[in-house]
Amino acid sequence: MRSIQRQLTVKVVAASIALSLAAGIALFLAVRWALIAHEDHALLNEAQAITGMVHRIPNGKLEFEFTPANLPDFQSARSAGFLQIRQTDGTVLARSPSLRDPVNFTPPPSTSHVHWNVTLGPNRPGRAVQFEFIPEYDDDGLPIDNVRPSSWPPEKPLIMWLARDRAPLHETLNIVATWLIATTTAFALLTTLAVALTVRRGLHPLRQFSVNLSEIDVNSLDESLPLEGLPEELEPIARRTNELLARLNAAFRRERRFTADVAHELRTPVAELRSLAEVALKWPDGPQTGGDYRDVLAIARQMERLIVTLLGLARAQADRITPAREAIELCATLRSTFEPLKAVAQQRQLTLRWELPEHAVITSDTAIVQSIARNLVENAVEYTTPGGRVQIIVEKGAGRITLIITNETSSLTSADVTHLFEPFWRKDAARVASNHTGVGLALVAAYAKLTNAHIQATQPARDLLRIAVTWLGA
Amino acid sequence: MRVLLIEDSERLQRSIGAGLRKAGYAVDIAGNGNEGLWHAQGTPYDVIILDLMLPGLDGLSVLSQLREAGKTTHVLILTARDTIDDRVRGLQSGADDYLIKPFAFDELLARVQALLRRAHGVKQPSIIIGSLKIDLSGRTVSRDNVSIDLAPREFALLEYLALRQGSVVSRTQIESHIYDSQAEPSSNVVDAAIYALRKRIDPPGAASFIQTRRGMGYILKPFEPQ
Repeated sequence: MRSIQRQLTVKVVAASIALSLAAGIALFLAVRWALIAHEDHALLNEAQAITGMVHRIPNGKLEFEFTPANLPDFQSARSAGFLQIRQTDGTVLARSPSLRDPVNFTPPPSTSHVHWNVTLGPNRPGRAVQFEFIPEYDDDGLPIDNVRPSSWPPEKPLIMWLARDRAPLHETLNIVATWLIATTTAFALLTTLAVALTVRRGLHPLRQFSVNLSEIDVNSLDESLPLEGLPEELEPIARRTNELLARLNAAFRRERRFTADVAHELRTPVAELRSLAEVALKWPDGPQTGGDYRDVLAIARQMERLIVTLLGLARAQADRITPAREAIELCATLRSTFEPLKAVAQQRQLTLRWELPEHAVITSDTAIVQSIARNLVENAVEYTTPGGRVQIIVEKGAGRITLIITNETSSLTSADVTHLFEPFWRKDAARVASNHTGVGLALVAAYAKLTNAHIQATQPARDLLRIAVTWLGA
Repeated sequence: MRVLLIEDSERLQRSIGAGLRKAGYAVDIAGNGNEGLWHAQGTPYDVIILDLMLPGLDGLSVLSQLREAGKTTHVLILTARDTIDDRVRGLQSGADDYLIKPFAFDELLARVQALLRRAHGVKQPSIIIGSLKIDLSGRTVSRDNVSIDLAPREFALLEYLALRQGSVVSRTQIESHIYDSQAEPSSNVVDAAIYALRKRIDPPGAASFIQTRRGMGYILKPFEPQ
């Protein structure tokens, strides 16, 4: 698994080491260049100084004052200095005793003065300079006022090759390189340690964030991650996580409430069934009445209705139903839906007002439309105030057909209307309406969504509930 | 023993009511909270079985109002609400027991019997009066280890007298605890019931376990041979 801490540490340490190596190399090259430049400059100065030891005397000959006292470093092969004076035609005029093998003293193309590397012997590198000069006349050889007569032939320049052993320079460079390597290595080690500690400390809020998150489980989803003290990089993540936790919590609560509601809806019929059976078994000689069997049948039907409705709701909400596209006569569906409820409506002394067009054909799934119509009409008939009015209207508009069911009710508030389509929501906390599962309107809403119909519940007046379902493209 | 069942499910009213009656209890039934409170305040029930989710007045409100009115009748809550919060709230509101639906009828019966014993300060499941042994749990009676068959209402009468053994119990008390609102006892129904019970439990030719206190009522006490 990838570790941010490890990756950050490795990358920062690698970058630091690469940068320090580059800096060390650059520094070494700069020092080397500076030392060589300094040596070249010193070599040139020395060459210029040596020119003062070469004089031309009145007879035109040259005089070299290369005595051991003047050139102590040029006396043997082990000496550090090497010197050769030659003419432009290559004739060697003088050389230091230290220079025994002039072949190794190969100069570059001629210029006024230039430096180059030479080999002064086995494993003995050196640095040389070529310097052109015209020797001065000896004071005694010049005419009056030390002015050279113009009638004299022009002077030919002489070339001096001066070389020095580079061992001291190499030693210095070796010391510099050793220090640089040691410094870079120490820097790399310290950098690794410092980076590891810094990254570890820098990632502490992330670890704490992880600990806080791991402490939240299914039973503590109502908790949220603390935002105080979080670095600004983590704060948006914590906020998004808290929002996600809130959504999860709401979903879990919905799920738990739904499960509890289902269990609760089943508790009473199961209790009825069990109590009925146990009493009958405990006193088997007692009279078994038709009422007992009717109770058992009614309980079975009630539980069956609940299960069927719940399955329908689950399938609709999970989009596991593929609705058909059929032409459905909505008005005929409504009339046939009301037929079995006519007796209940009469018993409850309801006044029904129908406003149906001659034809209202919608394109949808027949079973789904029948379920929507049955649930809405049943609810209106059963929940309307006794003696109240129910209005069933079908409106045809441009490309749409709307079913509007309005009924009188004395118990609903505007706040209740927002809960109407929630599963198991009932105005009556006692859930005494045993003919209803409490899932009917939730199923209607799920079916409407599945078939792209629009459903809306409103309260046009204090004692009225209006539910409208609109099918588009009719 | 008279029990009030406050339950909105008609099917549970029927089955629990029938079962309790067969077990020898007088049972009154109320289908909503207001009716239940009215019954509970007006009649000296031995035990009240109370549902919580009731139309009208909910069960906890019934219980609170009952306790505020000074009624100490033992109350068993019988509900589908199963959370610990619900149980704690119910017991803290003054209930004596809590049973969750669905339930075993035998357990309901046992809990009702336990509440009855508690109401009369009896901890043993059986009461012995001389040679007479009354098993309150098994609903059986024996004399000198010989079982005596009693009708449910006869057993209820004996149980009521036994729980108050040594105390005089008036005819009115017997009427109100042994007969529910469905029964229409005639003026001498208690005397007739006592007469029938004596015939069942008393040894032939001996003084009766149940003695009459003229103008006051009846008292159940151990048989003392002359």
